[in-house]
Amino acid sequence: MIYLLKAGLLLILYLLMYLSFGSLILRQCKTIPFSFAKAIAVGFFVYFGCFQLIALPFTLLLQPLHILTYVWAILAGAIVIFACVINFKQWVEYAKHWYQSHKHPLLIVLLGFVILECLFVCMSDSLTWFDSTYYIGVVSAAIQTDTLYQIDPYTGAATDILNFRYALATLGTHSAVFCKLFHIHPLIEMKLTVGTIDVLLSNCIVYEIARTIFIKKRYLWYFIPALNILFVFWFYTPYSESLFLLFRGYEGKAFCGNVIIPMAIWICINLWRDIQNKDYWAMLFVLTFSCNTISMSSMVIIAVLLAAFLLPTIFLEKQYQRIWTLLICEMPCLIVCLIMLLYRKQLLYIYI
Amino acid sequence: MQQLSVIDSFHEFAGTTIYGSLALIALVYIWTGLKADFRKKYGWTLVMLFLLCFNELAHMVIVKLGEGGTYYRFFWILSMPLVMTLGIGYFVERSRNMGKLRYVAMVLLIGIGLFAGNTFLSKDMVQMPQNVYKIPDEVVMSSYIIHEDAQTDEPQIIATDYLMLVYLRQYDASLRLCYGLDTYMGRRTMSDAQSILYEVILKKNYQEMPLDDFKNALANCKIDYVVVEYSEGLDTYLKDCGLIGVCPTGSYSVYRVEE
Repeated sequence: MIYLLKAGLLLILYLLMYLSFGSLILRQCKTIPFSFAKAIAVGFFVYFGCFQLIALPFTLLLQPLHILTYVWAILAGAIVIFACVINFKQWVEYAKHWYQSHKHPLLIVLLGFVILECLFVCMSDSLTWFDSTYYIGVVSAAIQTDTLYQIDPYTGAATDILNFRYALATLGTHSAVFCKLFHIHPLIEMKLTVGTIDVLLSNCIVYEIARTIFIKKRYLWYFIPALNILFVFWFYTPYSESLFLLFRGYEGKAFCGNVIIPMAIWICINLWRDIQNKDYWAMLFVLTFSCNTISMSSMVIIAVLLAAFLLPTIFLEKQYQRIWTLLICEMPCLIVCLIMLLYRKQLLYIYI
Repeated sequence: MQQLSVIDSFHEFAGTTIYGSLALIALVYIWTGLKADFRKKYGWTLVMLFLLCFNELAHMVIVKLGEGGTYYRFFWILSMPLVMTLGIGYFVERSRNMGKLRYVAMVLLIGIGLFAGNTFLSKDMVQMPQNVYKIPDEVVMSSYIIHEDAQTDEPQIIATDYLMLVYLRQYDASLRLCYGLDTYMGRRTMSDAQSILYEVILKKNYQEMPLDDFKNALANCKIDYVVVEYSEGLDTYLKDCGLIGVCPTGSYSVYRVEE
């Protein structure tokens, strides 16, 4: 029971951290109006971008988990407190305004659907997934041995070299940090808390997409995410992003299909409206910078997606200088691709 | 999935032809209703997607790079639930002159979309979890029994079968396994001793395995415990090899290896 309570508190803490990081960034973006859903979604990427900067050196330098835990707890705590102090007034004012302007019966339906989806993720079990043995096993091993990616999660034996395919994605490291900090079992943190975070973020982004596309049709802002949830439940195939969302939400792949890709599309839609908008370009860079640390699957998919969505607009609007901006945004994905290529060819590795 | 073409991959990804077709119709429907400048951008984006990833050449390159098994992830770019939802959203917005009839049409469209798909809710795969960890109770019990019996903080080495390979180290990383799930999936080779244990414990091919070979394999791999789904024949075999049954955990049994 205490574990469930901790999982719930951790969920609130994660949302608060994303909101704090997101609010700090949105304050700097004068052309992007604030909303809680937007701040949480943007904050998720800013947060993991920052976490990556701290966690990757620890992983690559083979440092113990407990030092990373203390460093990140102090750093993230300080940023959250700072963000709360300077944004609290804005949050309260926005919450009041939001409550008054969003009274709509469809909103109740949407909230009901989101709660049901979260409950389904938390309370359902499914077939065995091979991948969970690695993803959850690596977090359990990290906590048990106070190391980062130095233990083979399948057997518990020490590994010879750092597996870049997983070690460069710090989503698991992040779970290990908070499991250690809160003394919570990785199975609970990942399957309940992270799984629910995936669902909430996914819905926040679909809501923002609906708001962006149907600017003046308020009822569609609630109708679209609610209907999307319904279709998600009716899209069962072994490869669908819905399956990953509902049963494997703690895996990076689930975030790739349900959070990273929709977020990239949302930013691209906004850039279709105004290809010159520096705030959305900055947001796009934050996304590409942090998406690989959440899911390594993103490196090629996001690179292709951005080229497909933005190159036509750049050419149609004859904004050729934006090709360089796009290239800069693509750079993190291309660098990770290069690292992975070198790792696969056994030209780049770290001995343990 | 690696050998499939793009079309086959799409069929497999979409589950049913109707569902995939509906998503494609929704994509086209969205295009027809956009304003001229957006229609161009949207249309060219779809063309670019087909040029960059949804074609046989791109598929072949990805297969050559050894990622053919993950090609389906490109279809996530055009998320079918979201595309169909947006298609219906556009329909609702554009069909205001239909009056109340548009709600009937909308419900019909949603119904067709749901009918075309396969739901998670009716599948056998969904069940109530046995415990808060969402793993089989046998795993929790086995870990508890081993720690109670071993009475030491030294890591215990376990030889076990498929279910435990999947779950045991997720739940309890203090236990070490003689061979892992990667061995089961053929990604790792085994020593001779490991192969013998694998044959007997995981594949249950114990009838023709000499007792001495199995005993030597246990000693070579320094096995402390064997955790295996209970069967009378295997139980007798293991006990004949000198293993001591510690405690049953539902359908599983834990055996201690005496030095």
